[in-house]
Amino acid sequence: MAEPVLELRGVSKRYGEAVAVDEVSLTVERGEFLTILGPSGCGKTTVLRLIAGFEQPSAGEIVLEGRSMAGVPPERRAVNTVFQSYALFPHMNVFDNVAFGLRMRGFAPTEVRRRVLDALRLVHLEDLATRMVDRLSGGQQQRVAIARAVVNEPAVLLLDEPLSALDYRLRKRMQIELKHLQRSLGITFVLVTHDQEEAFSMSDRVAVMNQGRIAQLDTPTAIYETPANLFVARFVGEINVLPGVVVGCVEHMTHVEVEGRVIPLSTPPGCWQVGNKVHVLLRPEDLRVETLRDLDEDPELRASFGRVPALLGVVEETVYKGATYDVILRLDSGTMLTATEFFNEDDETVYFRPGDRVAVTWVQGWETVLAYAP
Amino acid sequence: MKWLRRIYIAMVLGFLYIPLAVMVVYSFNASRFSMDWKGFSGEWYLQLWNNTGLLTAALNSLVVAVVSATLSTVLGTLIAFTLTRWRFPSRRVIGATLFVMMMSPDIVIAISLLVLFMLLGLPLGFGTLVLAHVTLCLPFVAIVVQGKLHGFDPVFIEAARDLGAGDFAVFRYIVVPLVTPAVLAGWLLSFTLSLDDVVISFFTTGPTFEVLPLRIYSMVRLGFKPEINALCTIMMAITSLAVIIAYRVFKEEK
Ligand SMILES: Nc1ncnc2c1ncn2[C@@H]1O[C@H](COP(=O)(O)OP(=O)(O)O)[C@@H](O)[C@H]1O
Ligand SMILES: [Mg+2]
Repeated sequence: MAEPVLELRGVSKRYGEAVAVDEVSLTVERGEFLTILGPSGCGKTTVLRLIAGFEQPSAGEIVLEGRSMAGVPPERRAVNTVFQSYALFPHMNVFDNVAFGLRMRGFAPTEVRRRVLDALRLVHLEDLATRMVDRLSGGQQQRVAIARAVVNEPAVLLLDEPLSALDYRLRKRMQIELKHLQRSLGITFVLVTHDQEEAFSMSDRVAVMNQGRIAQLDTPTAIYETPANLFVARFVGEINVLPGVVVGCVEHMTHVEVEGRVIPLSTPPGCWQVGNKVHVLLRPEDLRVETLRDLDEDPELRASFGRVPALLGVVEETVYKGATYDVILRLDSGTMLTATEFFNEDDETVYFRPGDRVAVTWVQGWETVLAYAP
Repeated sequence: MKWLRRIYIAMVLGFLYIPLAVMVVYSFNASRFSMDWKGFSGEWYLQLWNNTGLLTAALNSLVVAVVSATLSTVLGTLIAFTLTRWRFPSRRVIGATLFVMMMSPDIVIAISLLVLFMLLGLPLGFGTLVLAHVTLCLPFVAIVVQGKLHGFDPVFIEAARDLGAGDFAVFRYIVVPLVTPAVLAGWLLSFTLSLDDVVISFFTTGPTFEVLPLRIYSMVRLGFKPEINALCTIMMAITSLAVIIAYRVFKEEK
């Protein structure tokens, strides 16, 4: 396997008593799109600043292309940053902004010109080369910031919430463009965001951060479907958390008592022992809800209703979401659940009514089981 | 409605510019004593040219303005950098003092300086005048430059370093260009403040060193001479030039 382009080995950053980054270790492969995802204040920006060289780690080591970066100043690191505020130089026009890095590295003027124009074409700004940067829209400034960084062909491009200042539609478009740019240039991207949708739609791998630590580092699918802990599970989307106790372990079948029902789970053997307290996690879109009335009247429906014994409850309210709607229901034990339902193709009305008695089930194996954590 | 608005605009412009226009027109009037129009003449400009006393005073004023503007720009810029870059106990006190000095009536500054100079036994003249004008201008420069430095986002420096700029390149290509307009504006402001100051100059210069505003003041007291119209017209031209330059500088910055 090729040598990773960037490696963080137990990197920590303390500001006095406060720990901003706590023993973060990760490797980034050449050409990879890695996203650091986490809530505000969890240390994402600090990780980028450590990689860029604006901060020195309190402990640990950063290795870029096989070379330790200890004591190497930002101007001598083969990384470039797209700043959250863009940080375009206000006294220069678009061309000079993009040319700055090349000029600092002593390229000949004709070469600077060629590369800058190439970079501007890449971000569709070739017509605005002579415009002052404060005469650009937010989206255009964003593109200049990207061009100014990629024109230097860095080993790693660092992007700190690059899209957060843009409106929703522009953000969606830039996500696609960024991903496309990254693929076609083959540059390694390390992007920081607090938006899980953004992280999932662009990245090869996502590092979810919480309080300075990496809570999970994996592909978007793995993070969404098999979160490693409650924090990740809750951060990357809505999820129902049900407390349970392991009541039986036979070969590859584990039985868990949840909400007064014994439910079979397909977890690998040896994971749990009888008496273990666990959390059973279920995404709202994985839950299947039917009214008891329909189940009584329709034996076929009842037969198809799955092997997991249903939990019983009452619909509290429904929330319209556009393409889907959420059914908020209260189980007989008092626990609240959220289930996402799609509209029928020919019927755009919400099927469930508050007060409906319902049964809830799911396809066995779609649940995630984690050790109980208070 | 339309003509009402036009009248309104005409009134505003008239209020502002009629006095100046009258002055400019009469600086070309051939009549010496009356305000009647006696035909076009450049005579007063010629007489002005031959009035060495007046010219000397004008030259003195220019020299004082250039010297004190330069000195206060250097000192004011240093103060601004110091106040924004470093945190030290008396920082707030100095910052507040600048505002107090800027707001103090000229007469207060003038008298206090006069007392100080007499206490120190300094002979009143060029030196004391420049010192006084530096005192007058310095807070303005410091505050203008400080405003710029406060708005100066350190992220620009990081961005430049990220793109490969070392310390010198950061200073040369980022800090200097971003701060220069404010420094120039400070200089121009000081230059005009010094040039048209009457009160402070009156108290802090001596009989050996006469400046233009004081000279004009004494001339008018002895009776009005049309040369003064010519002189003021020239000064207005110089001021307009300074304003145009300042405007250009600011526009560049935008
Ligand atoms: N220069 C600094 N001095 C002191 N504390 C800092 C500094 N920079 C960041 N922090 C702290 O470190 C933590 C992480 O900050 P940051 O990396 O900016 O988070 P994020 O980008 O994820 O929002 C925060 O609690 C913040 O207050
Ligand atoms: Mg941040």
